[in-house]
Amino acid sequence: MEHGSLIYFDNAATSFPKPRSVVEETVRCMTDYGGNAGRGTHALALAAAEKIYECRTLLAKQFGVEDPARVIFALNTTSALNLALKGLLRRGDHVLISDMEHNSVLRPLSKMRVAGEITFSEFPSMTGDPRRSTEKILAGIALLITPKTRMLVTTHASNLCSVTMPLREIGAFCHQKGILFVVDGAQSAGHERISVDEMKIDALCIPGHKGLLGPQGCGALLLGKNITPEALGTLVEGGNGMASLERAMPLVLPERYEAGTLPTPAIAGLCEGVRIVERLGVDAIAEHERGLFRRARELLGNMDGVRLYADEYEGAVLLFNLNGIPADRVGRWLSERGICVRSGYHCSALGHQTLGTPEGGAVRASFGIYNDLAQVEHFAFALEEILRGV
Amino acid sequence: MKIPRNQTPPRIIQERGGNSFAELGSLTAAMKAQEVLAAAAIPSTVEKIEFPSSHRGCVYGLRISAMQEKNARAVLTSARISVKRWNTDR
Repeated sequence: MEHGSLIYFDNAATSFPKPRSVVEETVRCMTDYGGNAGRGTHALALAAAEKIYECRTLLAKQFGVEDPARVIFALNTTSALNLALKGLLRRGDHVLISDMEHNSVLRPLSKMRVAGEITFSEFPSMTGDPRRSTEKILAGIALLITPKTRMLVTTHASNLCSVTMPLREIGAFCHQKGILFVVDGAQSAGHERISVDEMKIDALCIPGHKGLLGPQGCGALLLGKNITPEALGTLVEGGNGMASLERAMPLVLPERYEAGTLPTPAIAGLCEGVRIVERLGVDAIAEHERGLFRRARELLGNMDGVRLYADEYEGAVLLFNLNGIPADRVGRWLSERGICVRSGYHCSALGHQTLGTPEGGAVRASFGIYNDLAQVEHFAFALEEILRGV
Repeated sequence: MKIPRNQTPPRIIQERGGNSFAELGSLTAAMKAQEVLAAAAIPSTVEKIEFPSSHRGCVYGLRISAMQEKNARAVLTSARISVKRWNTDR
């Protein structure tokens, strides 16, 4: 299907289109050098291994991790989060999560809670609260700490609106309290500065296919200095190309957590995506997206019948509803007009509850590097048509 | 097809004095060590160690010119990269 005429405002789901160099490198891997890394030392196996190591090194640099071996490839953010949560938590632990968490945090923890393994509490992100401040967020966290609190999990940037959490301060707080700090970087990787070491993050979970512009099929878990292979249990066991005579997964980073064949073509593409982000600079990318957000907010804010949510936070994500029209219908009508958005609950039960969206959820427009102001204006025009009943 | 960096023609490595093998463990560990040595202008190729010290099977290491072994040891030690065993074929 030809996408040239579509307006793609669903970058929070996956970035699209992918840059040409990402596509070319993904294909080149499959045609020129894509052996199976760690399954031999012939030319193609080693070439694949080099590309994978190159990507680890780029990601380590991008996210402030000193050792590339602390970059563990995963299928996506969700699988990275599952590994971090299930690998680090022990029976009886108490966990703190923000009230804006995605289901990729809420669901694994809910399952563990139902099984009687852990308990968790939600701390207020204060999204939409005019009194919001870092100090108040930390105070809210402090109130919920118990002697069994072992971990705090927070999204860095919400997938519903452009609110962000103060990672540096939360990391320092957790470090002082001896609490593990796990960050969901799904919406911030490639959009905001993140440094695992500086921010005292113990586990950063990121996708390759959103802000980092890579193909779907890869993400990563980046481990802080204090997490040892002994401390992080495995979720998946199997062949990893080393110590094949051992019955247990070796205690070696990152191979301990990379059983099975890695998605080498996706990783190869991700390499190029990270290079592009590095070249453009996350600050410039963020500023570009904020510019689109501001224009969209201005146009929608001036329309009767539009409700915006948490639009005081500027970034890549704008959430809204059209009064009297179900969100999914708005999404469908926009799609018929060639505009791609996501409607509904966005896999974020907690977030929608916190933002107070009605039944049916809301409509989300999320911007990326290939969007421009003309597209935002066309989008606003389409919404006006829908509101007029055209 | 671009020749991967690890496919160094064997004759260059095997010029004089034979080869040394640094047993490292995982493939990532071998690549990390290779990167460190490359920064010190010491070429190496990643290889599977034929008879690893641990008898665990499937262990990776680096082949280096035996003449470079002393330098390589110093560089790797300085980078806090632990080599499980050194072997030389002369």
